[in-house]
Amino acid sequence: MTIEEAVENALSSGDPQKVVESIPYMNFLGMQVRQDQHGPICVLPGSEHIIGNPVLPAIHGGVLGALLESTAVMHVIWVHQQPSVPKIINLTVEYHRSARVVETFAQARITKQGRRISNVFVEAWQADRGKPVATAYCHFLTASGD
Amino acid sequence: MTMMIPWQDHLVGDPETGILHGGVVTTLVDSVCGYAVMSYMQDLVDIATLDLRIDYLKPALPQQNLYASGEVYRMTRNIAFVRATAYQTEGDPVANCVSTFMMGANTGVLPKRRNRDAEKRSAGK
Repeated sequence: MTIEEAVENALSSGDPQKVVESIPYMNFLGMQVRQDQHGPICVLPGSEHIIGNPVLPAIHGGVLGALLESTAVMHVIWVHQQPSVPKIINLTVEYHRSARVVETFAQARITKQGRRISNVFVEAWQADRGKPVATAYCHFLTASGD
Repeated sequence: MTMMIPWQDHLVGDPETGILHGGVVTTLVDSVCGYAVMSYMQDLVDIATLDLRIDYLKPALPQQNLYASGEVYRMTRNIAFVRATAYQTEGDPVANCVSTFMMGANTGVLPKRRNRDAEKRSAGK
């Protein structure tokens, strides 16, 4: 199955988890997707193989980046309802506090939708949504200029 | 500081093309930036990433190792400024990155203040 087919499948069945299942790296991280009225919420389970700092211990910053990025992709797919995967242009992650090795949630919102570019803000949190562990801004190319 | 991650099935973002997931690039680049700071430090203190910006220049090709090189271009007592590139062929970057790190993040232990007077004295000897 191609990724576009998986996206189409997920959109028609209303189940974003179907996208995750088609992407090996998201599967490797064990990502789960839920939904609320604001869109998809990605859940990263705490596990040994995502630890970056074994002393604290804390989740690897790059894995948090991957969670934020995947959540943003998922959100853009869900908002656009188009069977295509948006191309990421850049990602700026801010790390607010060390992420304990527990369930981590992330949800995105589109801050501006242009003709070709989507600006997306993503937030990742653990027990308390009011205390995000990391946030990110990213740009996506959602339509080609030609 | 250079690091490499071999191409592996479970790191793929698009199974049709075998292109690596962007998150893998993020993880490698974040690691190389952190290691660049650690290898630059004279006293070992805790560090934490404050922010990390990545520009994805092009997709990481399948079946090829991914490299990332990072360097500290400015270090102060509190903050380290780092830049890094991810590539598969040298001189042909896949992604560019700039990041900042806080020194003494969890313990509050900062690198020792440099004793410039002593350095001058020993240089004069």
